[in-house]
Amino acid sequence: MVSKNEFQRTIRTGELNLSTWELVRNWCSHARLDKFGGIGLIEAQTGLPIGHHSIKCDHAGAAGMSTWDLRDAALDFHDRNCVDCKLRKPQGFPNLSTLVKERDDKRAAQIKMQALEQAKQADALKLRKAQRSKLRDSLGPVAGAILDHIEEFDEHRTREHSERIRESARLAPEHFEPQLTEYVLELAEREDWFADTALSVLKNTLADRKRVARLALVSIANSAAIQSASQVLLENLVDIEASGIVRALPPIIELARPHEDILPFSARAAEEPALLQALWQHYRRQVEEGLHDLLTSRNIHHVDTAARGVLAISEKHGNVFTPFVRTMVAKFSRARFLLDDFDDDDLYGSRNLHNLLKACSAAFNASPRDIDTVLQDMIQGSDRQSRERCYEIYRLALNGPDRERETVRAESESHRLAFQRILWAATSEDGDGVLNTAHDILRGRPRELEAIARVEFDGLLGALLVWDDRLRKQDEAEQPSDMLQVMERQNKRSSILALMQSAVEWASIVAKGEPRLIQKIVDLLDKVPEGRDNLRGVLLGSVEHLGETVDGLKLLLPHLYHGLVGSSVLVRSYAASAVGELSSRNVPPLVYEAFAVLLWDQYVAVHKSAVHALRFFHLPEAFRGRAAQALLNLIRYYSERAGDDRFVVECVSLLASELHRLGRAKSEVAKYLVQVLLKADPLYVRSELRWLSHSLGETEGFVDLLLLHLPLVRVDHNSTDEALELLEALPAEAVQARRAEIEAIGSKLATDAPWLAAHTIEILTRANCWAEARQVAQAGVDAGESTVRNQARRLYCQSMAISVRFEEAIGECRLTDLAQISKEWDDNVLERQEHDADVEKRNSRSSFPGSL
Amino acid sequence: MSKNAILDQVFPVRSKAIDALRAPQKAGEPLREVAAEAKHVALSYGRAAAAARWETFAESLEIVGLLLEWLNAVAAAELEADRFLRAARKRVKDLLARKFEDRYCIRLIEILNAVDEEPTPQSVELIRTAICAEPMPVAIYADPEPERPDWARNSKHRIEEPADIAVAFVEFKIDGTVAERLQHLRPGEMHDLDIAVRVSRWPDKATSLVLSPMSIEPPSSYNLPVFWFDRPTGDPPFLFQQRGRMALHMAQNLKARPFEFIYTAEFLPPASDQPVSIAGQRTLRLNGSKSDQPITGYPAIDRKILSLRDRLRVEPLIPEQDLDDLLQVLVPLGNLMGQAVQGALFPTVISEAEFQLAVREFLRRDPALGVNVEEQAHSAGGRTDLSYRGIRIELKSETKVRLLPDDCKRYAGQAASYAVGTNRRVAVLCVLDCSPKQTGPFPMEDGLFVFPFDTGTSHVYIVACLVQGNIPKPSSHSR
Repeated sequence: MVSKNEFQRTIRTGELNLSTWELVRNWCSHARLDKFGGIGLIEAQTGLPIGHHSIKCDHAGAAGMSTWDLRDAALDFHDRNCVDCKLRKPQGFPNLSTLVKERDDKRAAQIKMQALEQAKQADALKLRKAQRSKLRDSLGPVAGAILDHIEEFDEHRTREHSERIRESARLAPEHFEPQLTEYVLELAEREDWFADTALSVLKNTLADRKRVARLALVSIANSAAIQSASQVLLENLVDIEASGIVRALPPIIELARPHEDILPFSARAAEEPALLQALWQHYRRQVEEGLHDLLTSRNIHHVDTAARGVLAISEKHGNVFTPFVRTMVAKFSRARFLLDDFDDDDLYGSRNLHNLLKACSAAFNASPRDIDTVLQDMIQGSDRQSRERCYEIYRLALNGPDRERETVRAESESHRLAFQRILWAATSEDGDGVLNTAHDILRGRPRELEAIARVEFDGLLGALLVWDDRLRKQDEAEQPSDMLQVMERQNKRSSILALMQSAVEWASIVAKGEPRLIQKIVDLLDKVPEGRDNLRGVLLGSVEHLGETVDGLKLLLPHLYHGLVGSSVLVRSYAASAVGELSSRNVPPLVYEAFAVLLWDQYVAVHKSAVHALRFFHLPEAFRGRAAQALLNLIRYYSERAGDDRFVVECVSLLASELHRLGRAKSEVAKYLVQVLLKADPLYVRSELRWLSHSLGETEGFVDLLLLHLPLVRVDHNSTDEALELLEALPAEAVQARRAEIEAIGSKLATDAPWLAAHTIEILTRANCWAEARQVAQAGVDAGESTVRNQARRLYCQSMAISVRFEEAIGECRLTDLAQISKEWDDNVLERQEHDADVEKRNSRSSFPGSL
Repeated sequence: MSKNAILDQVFPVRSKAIDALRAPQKAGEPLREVAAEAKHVALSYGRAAAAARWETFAESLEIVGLLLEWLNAVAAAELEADRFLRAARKRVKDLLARKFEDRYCIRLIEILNAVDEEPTPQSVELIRTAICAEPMPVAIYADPEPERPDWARNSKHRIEEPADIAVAFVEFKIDGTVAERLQHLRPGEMHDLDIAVRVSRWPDKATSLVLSPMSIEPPSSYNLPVFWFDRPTGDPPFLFQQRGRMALHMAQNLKARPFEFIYTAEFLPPASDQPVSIAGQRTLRLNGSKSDQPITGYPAIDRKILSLRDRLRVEPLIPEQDLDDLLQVLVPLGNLMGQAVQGALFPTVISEAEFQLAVREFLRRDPALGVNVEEQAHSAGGRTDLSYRGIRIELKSETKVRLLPDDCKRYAGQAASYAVGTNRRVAVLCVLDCSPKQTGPFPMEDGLFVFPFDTGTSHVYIVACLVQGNIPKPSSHSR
């Protein structure tokens, strides 16, 4: 799903790429725009070049980059290939030189800035050296030597030099004469790079503690020497100047609870909350003021920092939330209005206020009734989106931050309250957000919330009835004419239905083994009025868990059987799915008999549900033949229709397994199934290919299926090479039987996917099909014009062709030809070395993208 | 085209192996050599099916090599000639024991099976030809064992902290007193060298700590002790003290840099995770000038020049060349100061111009200076009195009031300006006190001294030479 902001950004990128492409086109008519990957919805609708693109040219090498911002790819292409090109065909102005100049100007400005900065630093170093030179006269020889260490560290900022100074202070503090100590302090106050070392040194000297504490606080505020400064401040808490705390608070919070990247590529720093917690204890007013400033800021990073600070303090001081609760809840729920850089759709980015959500939920867990009052106040007067964000707080309080929690007790007030609020909201609120929140809670099994689900059992069943009522009303309402509204309505329907199924699953899990609760579910089934087929069907799903016990199964079986043979299409469909979930023990054959009939059911929903359910259990032998016939019948019917290939493949897969089990993999029916698969959309066949190879691997025509899928390996960048692997595993005889077809596909692939053609050469030579293998390699050599771009492919295919001819000559006892073939190899190697040198030269001019 | 395409390294070996099989050589060595390369190719294929083919092919080459050795040994009537045949048979047996599914491997084993019968030169030749005539399927891709990338290996739980650096804080005493930044040491005499070391940590596996001197000086020119300390008990920091004997065997020239020794520390036995860094008096700088070697002819002035040299050497802003030039010009000036007192060179009141003329002639008379002594060179918008290779010499003549050394500082501003104008950090201020006096002269060496002149940003160093003139005759004091 693309947000409005994201949509606009994407459009802007497309427009920029289009203007870049115009510059490239004006620069040279040889250049071509090449797309990497598929075409997205926005690109298809607007026609703008969106996504990763690269520039190609027959006179350029194949190396290059595809980039989201085409300017990067264009500049890289220019640097690699156009700098010394003699074949450029200019078309007009403005052209790529505009971008090149802009980039070069920026680079020149950067270099100038760097030079200025270096000169400034060199002057400052000179001054510091002069000052030390003056100071040295007044120091004794050993103190002078320590001053020399400081000078060395100033010149080379290495750990060893710093360590030397620190350890000198620890080992020989008496040599830190007053003038030297004063210099250390002065230098650290001026220079952040020295602060860390100085703070470590000053611990061992008689320097003024207030001044040292001030230095530590300033260092932290400047984000320098945070660890050492924190240590110093903890040791000198009483000497801290309170006025400096507010400014230093963000880095102190960062130390206490470091920002966590969503994708942690590097180790996260350890949490060190001691200083923040101590400051809260001793300088509460200042810390509160600092946190309040951050929380009320309109900058998302500040608010996130404040939230992390509150969380870190709460580990030791549970009452920290009180002064901030209303602000935190308001800031989170109304972020769209109260923050300038908030992006509601940036779910996994840095702009989703995840820490603030955590802080709000922690506050709720600490004091559920109070926060619930605040939340309900907020919900009362808010718009839909703000209300939905309030329910997010309940969700996190219920689910915990990481879903790895201990079992929740039934007495937990916060969990019970949050559960009730979400369940109630899901039955009364219209927005998708609340439904999603409820679904997030009810998804899967209750696990650690089982006790809560048990005490809220009646609520779950009650919600089920309300949801069914909503569903019914929606179904009865007039169908909208607008397609988007229809889609929206269908989505909502699916959400409510999923919630109902989850509620039944939760209820049946907690009821399992408790006759009183089982009886409640059965009673509900008994009392479902005629025509409420959805409710009845969803309730049949409880058989998965209740059917695990004999008592539960006994109570539910009549309802299940009634569903299977009943007149309602919807209930039959649900009942068929429920059989798939049923544990096979203790199930009377009559149930399976009724199920097998559903495979012949004239209604699509029913026989599709039955086929899908069939994947999860084995029918008794007595019904298998009839089921197989039904499957064949369905395959015959659906394979002639468009748009049902997924279902066809599912049926073929099931029937093929049955044929394999019966040892009839080479039968006419099996051959027919392969033919059906050859006509089906490869998208659905590919995922089943390995499974199908077990059942139909020996069936005539299966090799054709693999060959059909071989070229698709190159267009699907995310799939595994199953077709390739299965082809490589084919026996030599099978390859020989299809040598012409393999050669034809290999020769076709050699033009634009020589790496894939190489696999066909391996397959063919393994089966002694030397002539065909040679033809594939030669097709790669001969394909296309002899351009720079095609050179790499040509040389690669040439080396394969030579290898094949060498072995072919051996096989045909033409040993006298071998010397000539080996010479051709050497010539090819020489040619490739020249080509590699040219590629290397071009690549050396490439630079890291992002220069504009 | 693909990182796993290894045809480039495979084909040359295959071609070489076929050549070796076809060559009419009698010895097995070339075949065994190429077999080693074929084994390497087999390893490169990793998990690919081609690995087994190449392994079998390599074995075949070795077996044919052994058979050729056997034929040679039989023909040469060597002892134990059959050992080659037995080895070849054992290899074939081992191959047979392995269950190959690949057609090429099976075919090679079939060919080699003939070894089990009673081989003859003809049958060996047949085996060789048959292997040579068997085409090997072309395998382009290797399938190496997957390796975890670096970033996965360095997961967040396994970031290794660098080893703690042990610091040894060192203090030296020479003959019982703390070693100066530049310590004067008479050459050719034995001296005590006391060391006190404080060590921050002691690595677990280290048994001793050794501190040894490092220097660029020829070993024959000095003798400095090596200090050994055994593993201590207790908790760090550890304090060690030891005394050694030291000597400089050679004296140094006036302009030569002092001897410089750096004491390095090392834990024994050596290990990479035991870095040790020396802090404190890491460097011993020893001045080995011979104080009895005449420089100006006036020993007290000589000593003063040497101390002045040592003082200026440690100033980082003064280039070495400037210091050399300064010392060069101070030698005749020091001599002038001595003569002025000893021989009453300036008995009457003279003007600054006359003094300049006298000094110019005196300096130019020194063959080491001669033509390089310039007069009235421009600097900082004024004209300097005298110059020697850019070292400005400001001359003054005081005719009225008697001057003491500190009084010279009032003239320093002009000399400092000239020095800055010439982009130098040192200048000479040569003042003649020819005022009428009632008292006798002060010790001549007291008139030679250096002092820093603050320019606002950093110091310029002025070397003052106070020349005493118009000295009353000693007999006048008795009146």
